[in-house]
Amino acid sequence: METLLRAEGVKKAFGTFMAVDGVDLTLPPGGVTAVIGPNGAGKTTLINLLTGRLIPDDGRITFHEQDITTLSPSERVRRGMGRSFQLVNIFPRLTVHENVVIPVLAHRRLSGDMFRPLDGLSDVHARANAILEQVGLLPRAHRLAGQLSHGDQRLLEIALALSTDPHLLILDEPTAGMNPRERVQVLEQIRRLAGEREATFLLVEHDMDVVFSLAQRIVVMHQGRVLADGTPEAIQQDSQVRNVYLGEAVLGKTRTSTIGGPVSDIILEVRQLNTHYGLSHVLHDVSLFVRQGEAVAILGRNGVGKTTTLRSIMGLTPPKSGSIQLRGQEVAGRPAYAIASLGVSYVPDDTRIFPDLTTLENLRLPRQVLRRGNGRWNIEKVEAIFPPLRDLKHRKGRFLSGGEKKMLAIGRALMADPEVLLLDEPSEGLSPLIVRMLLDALERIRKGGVTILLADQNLKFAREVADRAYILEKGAIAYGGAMAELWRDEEIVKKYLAV
Amino acid sequence: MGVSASGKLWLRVFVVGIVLVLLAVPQVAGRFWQYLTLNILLLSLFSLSFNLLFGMTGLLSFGHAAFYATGAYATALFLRTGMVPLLPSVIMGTVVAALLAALIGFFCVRHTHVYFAMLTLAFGMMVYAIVWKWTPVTGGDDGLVGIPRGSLSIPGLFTIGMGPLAHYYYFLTVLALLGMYALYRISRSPFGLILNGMRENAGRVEFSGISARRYLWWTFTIAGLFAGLAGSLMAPLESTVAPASAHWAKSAEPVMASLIGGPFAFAGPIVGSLIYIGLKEVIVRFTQYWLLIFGAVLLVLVLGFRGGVVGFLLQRMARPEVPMPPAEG
Repeated sequence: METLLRAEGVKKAFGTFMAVDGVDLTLPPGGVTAVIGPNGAGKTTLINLLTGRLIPDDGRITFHEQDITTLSPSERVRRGMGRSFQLVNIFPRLTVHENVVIPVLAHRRLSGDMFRPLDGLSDVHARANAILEQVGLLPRAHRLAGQLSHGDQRLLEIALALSTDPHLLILDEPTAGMNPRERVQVLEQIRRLAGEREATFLLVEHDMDVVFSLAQRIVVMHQGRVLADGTPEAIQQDSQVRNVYLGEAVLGKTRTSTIGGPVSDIILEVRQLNTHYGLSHVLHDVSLFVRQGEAVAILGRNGVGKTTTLRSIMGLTPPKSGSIQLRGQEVAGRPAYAIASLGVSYVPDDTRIFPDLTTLENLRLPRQVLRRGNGRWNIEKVEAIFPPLRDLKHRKGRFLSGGEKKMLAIGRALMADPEVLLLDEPSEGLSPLIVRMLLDALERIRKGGVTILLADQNLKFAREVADRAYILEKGAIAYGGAMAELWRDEEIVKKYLAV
Repeated sequence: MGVSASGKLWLRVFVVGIVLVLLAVPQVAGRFWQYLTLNILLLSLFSLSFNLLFGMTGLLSFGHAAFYATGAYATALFLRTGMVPLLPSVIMGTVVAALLAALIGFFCVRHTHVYFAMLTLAFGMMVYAIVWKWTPVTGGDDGLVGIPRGSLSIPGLFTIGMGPLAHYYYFLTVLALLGMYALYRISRSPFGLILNGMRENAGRVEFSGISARRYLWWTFTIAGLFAGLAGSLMAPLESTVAPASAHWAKSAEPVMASLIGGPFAFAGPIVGSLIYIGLKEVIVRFTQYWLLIFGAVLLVLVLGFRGGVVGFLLQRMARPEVPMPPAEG
């Protein structure tokens, strides 16, 4: 049988840690293959090896029956490979249109042309616009890519991967951080391209709905090796896979009550907050409050101002007007470090782990910087709620997987001994098992007396965590109320949150 | 991007106006103004070539004077033989500079960020040391003096002597403007967009199917070529070339001109060169400590005009675009 891609005994170590430990994988042309596995199983490393971002220590990779083991990424792309990244990897200070023009030019072998004006290449611009149309970004083609909301940047990420008309498209968590509407859009796109046999897909994904609805074949990775490989039905019934990955419980089925500790006085009150980015007015008179010991979710589609609200409270994007009171003390306009020293910790969606520090050093840093005595949290307690960190003590931040970074970022925030914990997209990119662990962890964190304010795309997750929710729409609060009530009100859910 | 059709028309009228003014200078102004104008043109071309790496591609070179000096010395050597006419001397001087840039660039583009800056500084100082020590060829610390300007001629048709400054003025102005126009075309070409992409995210350029290193090598060589052209035009103007033209202080001039004018607008380095030379000329009249005053003015410009003078004005005038929010915004 003809093969498109073949990996034989591929290995990659980071120091003494075997990230990918002898993987064999053969892809025939056509179809969708999903790679799943717990956080840290080596999925992203495998993709980096296949696409040339990393060169294997051992083993061989062929593409179109030709050896590509040591070729550069650009050479592999020229031979028909395309990829998207787990973290947004775009050209932030170019327009959305220009972002897509770059790979289109490369694909048409026009990128080295120094003499023709770019404006005159109308078929290149038409092709770029067609790609943007496909992913729904055409209306925002002339905005700077860095100004798009996170979800739109994820869409652009996919558009960039599509722009070179690849035969093999490798997607690393294509739908992470997207709202349901965008998710459907991207999935339809993949289904269409796969159906028309225009491209073969290899994707890493944590959303099991996506995996089981799209893939004809699933490869399960665990500890750097292939644990199972087969049809979705076979994988679902594999007991080994259930143990390491899918977990026993499915979200929303085992829990009857919301988690929580004692609820009392208002600890954080935001009134009439207005925040701008440059000339654009992002938040309009946002008011909300959080009681001591409560968990409150900020919901809403992409680009409505969830992240900005958290950043405004933290002092990272100072508001133009309005009031932010922490235990009755006005903190609006104060710098982030001052707000942090008053007991607020912020975990951004991209974690901001220090890449050259080890897990242990990352965890110790807040204590050393804040010069606090022993607080309620210490390294043992953090490891107790995130057990995987225990085995990663001496690994550098850059070698942690996406999910491991997330755990470490929350752990690091706890080490600053916060009273209020701000979490931006905590469940993004986490495997089901880790999401379950995170839910348990947040419950224990709340029992430890920490108040939580989070923004999350994942409604199921937010429902499990939060007592109350606010819905943001175009930078203003559109709804506020108890989570249970919100969930019953189908109209609200449909209007502000659904497809 | 963001410029309306009427804006484009006005821009064209403005550029044509400036070219006309440049061509009129020798008719209406004396030697001082001609000389000053030529210096601004030379620094503009030099700074634009530097900014091809800096503003467009995101690479800070601290050794760009190496190519300027190479062009100047090579042209001077050709002219001093008395055998090679002016235009071929300038062209060959430029080519020699480009060849050196290709050689040095081969090593420099293997690194980015501060390592690139350090490598270019190191190579720049090596060229300076060679110029300083290789007395039989370069004249050592005396430099090369008595460089004839020669003449511009097509055998059998005409010969124009370049002795009078006004004659050489036109020669230099036309070639410098052609050089700037070529750089402008590159900045608006597909290649130019790829360079911008490299500045924003070199890794993603690689994953678009473009060998970032090869493109950087080309860019480095082209930047060296146009720096060499500036140097080649300078030598006959001054009729001397001194080792100072290879010193890192010379490499700092385009850095400052680009920062003052704005590295992200094509015209930034030109406006920056005008301000740089104009300011220096004015301040020098009042005090010998002109660098002190100049430094203070530079501080005000860099701190007060975000994105340089041109970038600042562009943002003020037409652009509805807002400044960048933080990346994670």
